[in-house]
Amino acid sequence: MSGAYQFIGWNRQKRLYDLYVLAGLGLYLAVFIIGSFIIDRNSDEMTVMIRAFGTAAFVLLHIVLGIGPLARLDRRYLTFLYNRRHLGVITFFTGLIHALLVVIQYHSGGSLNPIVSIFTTESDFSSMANFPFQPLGVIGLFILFMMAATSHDFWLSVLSPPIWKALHMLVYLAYAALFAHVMFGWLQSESSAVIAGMTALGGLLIIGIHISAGQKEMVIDMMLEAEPAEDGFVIACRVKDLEENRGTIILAGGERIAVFRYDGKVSAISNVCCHQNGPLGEGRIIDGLVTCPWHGFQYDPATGAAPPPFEESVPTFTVRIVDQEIQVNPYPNPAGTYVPPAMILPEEEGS
Amino acid sequence: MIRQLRLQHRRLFWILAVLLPLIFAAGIAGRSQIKNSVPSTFIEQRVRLSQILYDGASSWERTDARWVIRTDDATIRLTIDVYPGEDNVPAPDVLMYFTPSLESQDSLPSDAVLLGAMPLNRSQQFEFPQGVAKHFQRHLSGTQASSPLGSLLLYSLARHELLDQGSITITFK
Repeated sequence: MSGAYQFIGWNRQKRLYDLYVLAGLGLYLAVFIIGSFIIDRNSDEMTVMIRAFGTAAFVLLHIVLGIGPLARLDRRYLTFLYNRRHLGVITFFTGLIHALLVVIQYHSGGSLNPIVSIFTTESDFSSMANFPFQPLGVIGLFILFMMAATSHDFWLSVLSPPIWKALHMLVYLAYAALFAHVMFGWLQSESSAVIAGMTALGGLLIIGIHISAGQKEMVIDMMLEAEPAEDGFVIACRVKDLEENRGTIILAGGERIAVFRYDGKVSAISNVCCHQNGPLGEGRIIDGLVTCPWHGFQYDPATGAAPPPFEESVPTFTVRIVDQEIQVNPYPNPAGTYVPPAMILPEEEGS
Repeated sequence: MIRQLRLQHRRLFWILAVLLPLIFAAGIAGRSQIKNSVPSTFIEQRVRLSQILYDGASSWERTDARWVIRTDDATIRLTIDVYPGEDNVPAPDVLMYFTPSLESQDSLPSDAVLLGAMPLNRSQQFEFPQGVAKHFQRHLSGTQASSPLGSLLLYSLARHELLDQGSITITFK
């Protein structure tokens, strides 16, 4: 959330997050390299480095892909979601170092252009042993580069959220390409069942938690489906069931709506944060503003607009209180439209 | 918009749930091709054959490595012990082949027989395949004082390039 362009909006949490990630990466590389030489003291240094950075990037990619669904399954993982984009950029640079070492080791000594060499070294699609696995790595790395290059909020604003999101969903194509890169590359010469088992386990975990999180969201959608009231309104909940400065989420008109109670009033806005599609209804009212639980983007609950100088805004919904029930009109008002909050009268407060 | 994205996401992962196991199965199945490509005569245990037929200390054109071909009077068994030098081999993942030809080669000849992977930092022993051993025996039973037996080739699979060639000529005492 930035009023003006800023290269990286550092704060203490982001610095700590990056520090832990870099320390973890350094530890992994050290353990991998030292362990490789303990297992086989005749190991080739360059090959060990290539494998260390390659596996580190692949492990980091699993973590990046796992954080989102894990946060949907268990809120404790929200901490890791906060600075996921920095983790993604570090993943790209780790993969880039792996690729550069490969070019130096295998493609720079001949008369052939290294780029041409990468794409022509293996060319037998009928044989797994000589399958062109290196272009698969290039495809994966290129997608990670596109994501790292457009990870700044500046690009989210320039490209618009739907295009930005579509671009970043290519990460799943990158994962499939890199999974094949590992299977048709390293695992063709590495006979260890442990490596093959860990690769399979990584794939299973990623697929498993994503499908589980998706199933959970489907179930939640069914549970959140609001009952109809009169005049096209739907029933959100009873006033007494909504905590002060907290929200609840309902499903109406095919979309999720976040309903908040604050200062004796009730307002409803879209549940989707325009930053990263975070669930606003799971956030809190802080300083009178709805605060996204993912990255702290804030919106006025009555207008759906971010406070100046920020320009983001989300759709608002007309809300009313009838017989101690909060009712919402599921037809959204244009983003940033002021809707008078429903006032909670003392007799409607309940206990 | 968010529910539409979730729907796309869910479909994408069902596709991945089918695709990744297929990739994994294909990758694991492909590994057997590698195992089968290693000559069955490749030996893990070093065998002691007494008679040194040839010491190729300086036969390579560009590679700093010595090799010794040994045999035993009682058998037609032939082994080659390779001792890499300080400068090692000029490329990674180098394979060693034998060819009966003595001519200078530009590429890997069709009659080349794979002996195994060229060791990097340690000596290694290979046993010649039966066909090659018989080829040697035919020459050994001859009466010539000096007999050219063929060449060892170093080939980079990564670069598809013949790196070096060393001829084998045995002098009988």
